This record gives sequence, C-alpha cells and structure tokens, in this order.
Amino acid sequence: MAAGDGLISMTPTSIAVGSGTASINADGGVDFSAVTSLSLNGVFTGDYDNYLISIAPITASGTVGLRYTWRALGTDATGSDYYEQRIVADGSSATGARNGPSTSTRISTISTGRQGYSFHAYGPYLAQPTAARSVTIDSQSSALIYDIASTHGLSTSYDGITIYPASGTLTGTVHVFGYEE
Amino acid sequence: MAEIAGLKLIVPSSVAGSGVSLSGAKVTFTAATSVSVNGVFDSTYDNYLIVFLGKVSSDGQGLSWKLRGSGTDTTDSNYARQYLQANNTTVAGGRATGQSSIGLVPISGIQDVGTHLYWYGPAIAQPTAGRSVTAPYQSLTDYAWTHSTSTSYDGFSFIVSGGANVTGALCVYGLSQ
Repeated sequence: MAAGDGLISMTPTSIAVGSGTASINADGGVDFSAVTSLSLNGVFTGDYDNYLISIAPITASGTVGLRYTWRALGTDATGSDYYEQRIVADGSSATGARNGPSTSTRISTISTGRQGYSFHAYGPYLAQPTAARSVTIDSQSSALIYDIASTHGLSTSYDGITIYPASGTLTGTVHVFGYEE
Repeated sequence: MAEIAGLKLIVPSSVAGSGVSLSGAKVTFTAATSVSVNGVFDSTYDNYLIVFLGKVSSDGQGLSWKLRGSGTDTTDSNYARQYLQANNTTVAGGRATGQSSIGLVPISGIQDVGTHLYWYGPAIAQPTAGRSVTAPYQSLTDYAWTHSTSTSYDGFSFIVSGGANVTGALCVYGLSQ
C-alpha cells in the first residue's frame, strides 16, 4: 500500500544572498550565516503540489518579522498581493490580527533566541493563488506560539522563495521538502 | 544510525464519489459533493497525515470529515471537537460533543487553500484522535477532535456543507514507526 517516501528533499538549483554567506549542504538543505536575505531557486517543481519548509535553528540580530516572497525564475514577486492572518498565544493572552495587501508577508517573528518553524506551502508552482501556513515555536518570553496563515493572490507559478528579516540578519538552516504524490 | 524515510505515501485501495478519481496515490476531485477514500489506514502505521489543497464552490462552506470502515461511513454521534479560530482581531474557540462528524473544517470559495490533517490511531481498535492545521483565505483555523468508538477504520470521507461542492486534491501519508 505504501508507494514511496512521503517527503522528498528539494535541493535548490541555486541560491543567492543579499549579504552574508550561505551554502547548500550535503542533505539538500541550505546553511546560512548573517544573511540579510536568502533566496532559494528551483525548489518548487511540477512534480509536487505541496511543500514543507523547515527552518531551524535560526537566530536574528533583533526581534523582527521573518518575511518571505515567492520567487519565479530568480525574481521576487513583490506586488501588493499578500495577506496574512496571525494568532499569538503569549501567556494567558491570545490575540489575532490581519494584514494586507502587502508586498511581502511574514512566516513569523524571530528574535535573538532560538526558535523553529514549519512552513507549509500549498501549490506554489501551480498557476493559481498560493496559500501558506506557519507553525512556530518562538523563544520570546521563554515559549510563545506565533502562527500565521498567508495567501498570495496571483495565478503565477513560482519555483522559489526568498526569506529575510524585516531588519538585521539571520543565521540558521532551511530545508525544502516536496510531498510526494 | 540507519536512515529510513519518516513519511510514507499511501495508495488508497479505492475512492468513491461523483467527480472523484485516483491517479497513483493522488486523490483528485472536481465539483464533488462528497469524497470517500478507502484502504489507507492499516496496521502498518499508527498515525497518518493528509495534505489537502482545494476550494469549495461557495465561500463560507466547509468540509465535514468522518472515519470510514469497509466502505461505510460512521453513523454514530461519537465525535467531539474543539476549534480555535483567528479572524482579523477576533480570536474564538468552541467545543461541541455528541457530533456525527469532526465538524466543518472551513476552506475557501475564493482561492485554493491548504490543510494538514493528522489522524492518530484510526486503524487501531481504540478511540481515535485528530488535529487539523488550516490556512483558509485571510483567516486561520485549527481543529482537534476525538472519536470515542473503539473500532478500526481503514478510510475517511468528507461531505461539503450547504449544498456546495469541492475541487482539489489530497494525498495520504503514514508516519513510519
């Protein structure tokens, strides 16, 4: 009944940074240090509809938004086509907020401590609007939930993604997996 | 340490529903009012993941999911669910017990949205638990649910609410153990 492995490592065809350093590791992930932005090219293909992007561990030079844009053939999609809905659980407080349209949107927030992100991308390579969902463990206040659902409204096929902090730099590892189908 | 794949793609033994088809392991549905998937849960794995991408024909409608055994949906009222939803600045939760399905996991009629559904122990003859993480259009909804019957199930169904239909695709994965 099992047809094969469920998650397939998607090695980027190439990567780019704004500043800082990054390299593709032996497992197909990307290790990066002190980058102002990191672009992964060729990680979404017609072979798979949906993807898991694992980002951990990661640190920033301050407490800022961890943002992303979809990317096609080496160019970021920076039109005002992104919306986000977030929910934050911080101690006994649970709050929500919606933002958009904007020219990029957030995966989550990021701080100087350690945290981890599972980022689900639904249909980025399909020529239809794209949805995404992050599940985050944030080390602010020791432990904090900061989850975001986001959408991008253009019916365009994207083969890559750019992640970046709203300010400062990032250090960590990112790995993209395709859900076999 | 030996490396083995942690997630295994599962091929359903069959699917059912008008507009529902099976290509390899991928279940595709077009304007379907209900989708049934058979033969995906067994004793090989305890826990499963369903990755769904699609949209409904009428915004505001959702999918009502049920367990299924030997080609028959559950008909009991042994489901309980808790949801957590963020819609702009409104954060709300709710619980219902004695339900005939896990509840209406919302998806969008505006654009395709994605859902991860986790089923814990559906093929084990004990109560089943589940959890969904959804990215509906401009909102956010999570569900946790239980089904209290100690029966082994090999599949699942979902029905679209409000007379609407759904177009999209899903795949089922077993979590290696």
